[in-house]
Order: sequence, then structure tokens, then C-alpha cells
Amino acid sequence: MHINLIAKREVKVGFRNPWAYSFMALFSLFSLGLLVIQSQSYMKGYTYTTGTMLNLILYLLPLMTMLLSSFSLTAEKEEGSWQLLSTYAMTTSSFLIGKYVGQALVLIAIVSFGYGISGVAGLLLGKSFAFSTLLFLLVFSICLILLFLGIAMLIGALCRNRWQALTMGVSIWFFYILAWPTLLISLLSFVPYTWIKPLLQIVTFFNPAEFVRVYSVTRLGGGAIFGPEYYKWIYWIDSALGDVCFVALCLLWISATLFIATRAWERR
Amino acid sequence: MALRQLLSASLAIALVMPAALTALAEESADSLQAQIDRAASGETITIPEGKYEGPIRITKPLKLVADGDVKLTNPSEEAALIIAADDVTLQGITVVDRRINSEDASIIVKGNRNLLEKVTVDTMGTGVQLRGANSNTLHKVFVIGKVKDRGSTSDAGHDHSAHLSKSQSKPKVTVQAQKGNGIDLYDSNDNRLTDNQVTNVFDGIYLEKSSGNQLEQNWVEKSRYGYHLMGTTNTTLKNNTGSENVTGAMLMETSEATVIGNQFLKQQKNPNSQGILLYDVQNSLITDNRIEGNRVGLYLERSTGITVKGNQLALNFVGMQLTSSSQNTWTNNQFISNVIAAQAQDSATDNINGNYWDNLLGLDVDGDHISDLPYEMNPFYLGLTDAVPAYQLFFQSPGFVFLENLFTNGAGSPIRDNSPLMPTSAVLAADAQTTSGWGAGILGLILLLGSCTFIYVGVKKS
Repeated sequence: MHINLIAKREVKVGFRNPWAYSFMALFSLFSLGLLVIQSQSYMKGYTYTTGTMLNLILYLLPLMTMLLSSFSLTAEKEEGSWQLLSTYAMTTSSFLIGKYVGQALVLIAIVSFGYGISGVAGLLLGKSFAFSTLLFLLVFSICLILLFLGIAMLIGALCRNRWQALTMGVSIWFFYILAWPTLLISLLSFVPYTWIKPLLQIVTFFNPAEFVRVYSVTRLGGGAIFGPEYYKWIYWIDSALGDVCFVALCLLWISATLFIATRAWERR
Repeated sequence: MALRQLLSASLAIALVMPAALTALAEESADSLQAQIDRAASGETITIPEGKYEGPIRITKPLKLVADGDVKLTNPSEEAALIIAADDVTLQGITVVDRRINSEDASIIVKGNRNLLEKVTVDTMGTGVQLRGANSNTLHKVFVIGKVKDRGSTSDAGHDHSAHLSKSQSKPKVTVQAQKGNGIDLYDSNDNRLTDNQVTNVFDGIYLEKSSGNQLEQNWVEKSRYGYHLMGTTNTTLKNNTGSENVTGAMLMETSEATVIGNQFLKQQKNPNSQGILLYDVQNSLITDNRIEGNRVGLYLERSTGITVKGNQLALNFVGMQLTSSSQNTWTNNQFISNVIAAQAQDSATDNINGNYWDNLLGLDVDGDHISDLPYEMNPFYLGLTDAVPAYQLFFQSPGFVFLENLFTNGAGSPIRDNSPLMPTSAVLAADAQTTSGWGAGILGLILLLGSCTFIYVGVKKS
């Protein structure tokens, strides 16, 4: 019951936040940009265009999610509303889950608005996304939002104010998105050769951006590009069981981050 | 182990029993061989519609023409049909061969100037073998491999040393049937293979130690390698199609090959797939091919003196990969919407100029339709994954693209196209592909209205 109330409040506050609209404007612009890219080229399967689109989304969405949602949590601390809420009989976990659900709805609405605009604009301009592409991008984006929202909750729980959250959000974004291969390649050069592949596979599960990307590329039919090393992996992802496990992995990620966030929040 | 032997024994009995029964019922196979033995050289034998049994052996110049649906089954352990003569014509026959793991193909040709036309081979092993056979013509030969794939993991390996010794004997002990080649040439020269179709075999058309053969308008699909040239010279591959194989055309230790006007499509499911692979090839010509939707479009390793001209490489995951090669010429090729257009390393003496790269941000100051900015190929990914193949997982990862740019900025790759073509109207026309967007438009409208309503309700509600 509390979760429901908190989520409703979160949606309301979320859409009164000017940041939400600036991100919405940014994402709409970005989505229209994708439309322009795609209208010049081919869209079926894993091509230059779809590969570029995935990367552009990977750059923008995790950062947007982490900033917007961690700010919403630190705001509760800074503005003192958590002190007020904590006088009610409500558990931390239901508070954070409520925040999670509310933020997820806000972010999905922002992304839907962006893709919606480019879908309609495409129709009007006569050079549109394919239905399957638009749906694929939407699902890919929602996956990223849900996973990085868990991290955002954790950031929000750990940080005292917006500044800390901003620093931490950008650092995590840089670590997961930009520096990831560089760091791994340099760190793995210290381990024996035969460990590299298993270690790489294990750490990939700890980077939502990477496993969502690998899964998406495979579902686009491009799994073979990861080479013979990952053949069984890719074949397995492409099977029906792969979907189930992907969803399970996502749920595991979200619950793990939320659990840690709850603990961190309670410790404060 | 005992169970397996029992199984194979019972399988053998199950296979032999009906065959023995039909052999009793029909004496026609015997009569066909007798008829062939009786006929004088140069005679034409018309085979009436019906079922016949092999093995059939032709040892003199004859013309065998099927009248209607002629089906030759093969209960023996030998080849279903052996042509050990010159100037034999074989027309309209269907061969059904259920032997497994046999060295001998269903049809073996050992003579010269023979013609096989409209012959269908339905086989568990190799379809047609040419052994020391010259100047033969195979026209409209259909080979259909009946061995089912065991699992996706078979054929995954791509080991150069493994298939170098492929022509040596395979173990016969396994009950599991191994795929054979569609049409297999060994030590056979100046043959013409036209309009043949091969499906689901090991290598579609395999040439070894042969020269001067012409392959035109053939079609190979769902096999390991479509066209496999091993140590050949002067081979012509013209207007052939390879589709959904592990590799479309595999040229190894070959020289003076001409690969022109072929289509290599959708070789992308296997982690070792390529459209065309050249390994240790000299002085050959790769022109006007359409290489589309492959894992790697065109792969060159340790090759010299190759002219790659006027090919269209589109929608491949990697357009071309070039490694340890020298003195090749790449010109007038079009690279369109490949995830990565080109990767190259250790091939600094290659001349790669005047190609069209659709992801180049070109600049044409003097209006000669040639960009004044070069197109550079990045050796970083190939070098890295060569050392540690596991890093292929970073293919096009945003962080990896970032890292790659760090390594190349300013340095200037030695492998580059100094005069890349600017998009012309012809190129753009080929590039444009309009999709009817009603579905996307409606989905967009639903998303837009849904999110607006949600925002309105979410904010309004007290």
C-alpha cells in the first residue's frame, strides 16, 4: 500500500521537476536525430545504423537515468521530506521500491514521448522507422532504464546531497560505459592468459550496459561477431531459454541493487 | 559401447532388409548394366521410367538418356555410378544414395569430355567426384545432402591445418554420418560447371590441385564452404551464388583465380563466417561481386597481388578484414552500412584508394568527387583480438570505440584510402531504402498519447 502511495507521489513530483522536461527535450531531439541517421541507411538486423543507435542510447540513457533518479532520492534528504516520512509506519524497502516504481514510470514516459515523437515525425516526413526497430529500441531503452535505476537508487542512498550524487553518477557512468574495456584490458593483462575469457565473462554480468548490449546484438542476429570464443554463449542467448535467463538476470540485478540501497539507506 | 554396436548392427539389418527384397523383385538394375555392357561405343541408351539399382559402371563412350523419372538407388558399398570412360553423356537421372561415411561419391567421373546434365544426386556423402578427369561438363546437377546437422556447435571450428588434411581418410568407425562435398574435383582440369545447385553438404564445390576450371551460375546454400579452392590455378568463379554457408567462397593456396560477378549473401550465423576468404592467394581478381549480410564480407590473409575492384560490400558486420598481406589493389569498391567498414593490419603496401565508404565524413574542396580527407583503417581491434580472441566481446562496445579513437587520433594509420569517393547520386540511389512506416507511426502515436496522458494525469492527481 505504501509502495503505491510513494510511487504516485514520485510520479507527481517527478513531472513537476523541470529536469524531467529538459531531459525529455534532450531525448526527443536525440530520438529525432536517430530518425535522421536511419533514414539514410538500412535498418534490418545488425548494421552500421542499428549498431550506432545502440551506442548512442548507451551513452545517453544510463547517465540520464542515474542523474535524474539519484537526485530525486538525495532531494528527499536535502529537503527534509524523508524525516517527515520516517515518522509514519513505513519500511525503508517499501519507500525505496515506491521511489523505484515511480521513477521508472517517469523515465519510461520520457523515453516513450521521445520515440513517440520520432515515430509520428517519421510518418509525417515519409521516412520512418520500421515498426520492429522502434519497438526494439523502446524495449532496449526500458531495459537500460530499469537496470540503471537500481544503481541510481544505490547512489541516492549513499550520497548526502545532489553534488555527491552528481559526482558518483558521472563516475559510475564513466566506469561502466567509457572506461570499461580500457580498464579490463589493462587489468586482465596481469592475469594468466587462460583466465582472461572466464574473468571477462564473469565481469560482464556485473555491467548492465555490457550484458544488455551483448544480448541486444545477439537478438539482432549479430552474435557471430563476438567470435568462436563465445559461440556457445551466443547460441544459448538466442534460444528461448536465453530470454528467460536474461529477464531473470535483470530482475536479480534490480533486486540486488535495491537490497543494497535499502541497507545503505538504513545505515544513514 | 556395446549398445552402440548393437544399435549399428540393427540399423544395418534394417537398411539391408528392404534393399534385398527390392533386389529380388526387380531385375532391372542388372539389365541396365547388361544393356550398357552390350551396347556398342557411341550408342544411345534410353532408360525407361522406373527404379534401378546400382552400382552401374560405364566404361565406353555412351549416351544415357532418362525417359521420364529414372531413379537409381544403391544397395552396394561402392559408388552408385562410375564413369570410367571419355565422351559419356548422362542425362536426367536421379541417384539416391544412402551409404554413409564412404570415401566414394555417389557418382564418380574418371574420364574426359563427359557431360552430366540434369542429374539429381540425393546423398548421405559426396555427390559427384571428378578424379583425374578433364574437360568434363556438369550442367544442372543438383546435389542434396541428407545428413542432418547434429547441433549448432558442429562445424564451428575453423582450423586451417584441419582441412588441409581433409582429403585424407576419415574414420569409418563412427555411426554418425559425416557430410561429404557436393561436387568434388581432384587433379581435374579444364572442366565446366554451370547452373548446378548444391544444398546442405560439407563443401558445396570443392577443387583441389586442379586448374583451368570454370564455375558459372552455380548455387550453393546451407553448407560449410560454398566454393572451396585448394591449391588451384586459373579457376574462374563467375556469377555464382553462395548463401547461408559458413563461408561463401574459400580460396586457399591458390593463384590466378578470377572471382567475378558472384553473390555471397548471409554468411553470418557461424562465428567463423565470411563472404569470401582468401588465404595465401596470389595474383587473382575479385571484381563486381555483391557481398551482403555476412559476418565478415571479404577477408584477406597472407595474399599478394590481388585486385579487388568494383565490389559492393553491404550490411556485413565487418566489411573487409585485411591482415599480413602485401601489394594488393583495392579500388572502386562500395562499403555500405557495414557495422565496421574495414579493419586492417600489417598490410602497409596495399594500395587502397578510390573506394566509397558510407561512414566517411568526407570533404571535397575542389569538386572532383574525391574526398580530400582520407579514410583510415584501424589496426587496433584486429591486433588486440589476434593476441586475445576473448576481447572480441568488446566489438563495437561504446567504450571500445572510445578507446580505439584514443589510439588512432593524430597518429595516422598507415593503412588508409587517400582518395575515397564522395557519395554520388548513383551511390545514394542504391543506398536509399524506404520503408512504409504506418506501423511505426501508429506505435509512435500510441506512445506519444500514452506518455502525454500519463504526465497530465500524474501531475494533476492530488
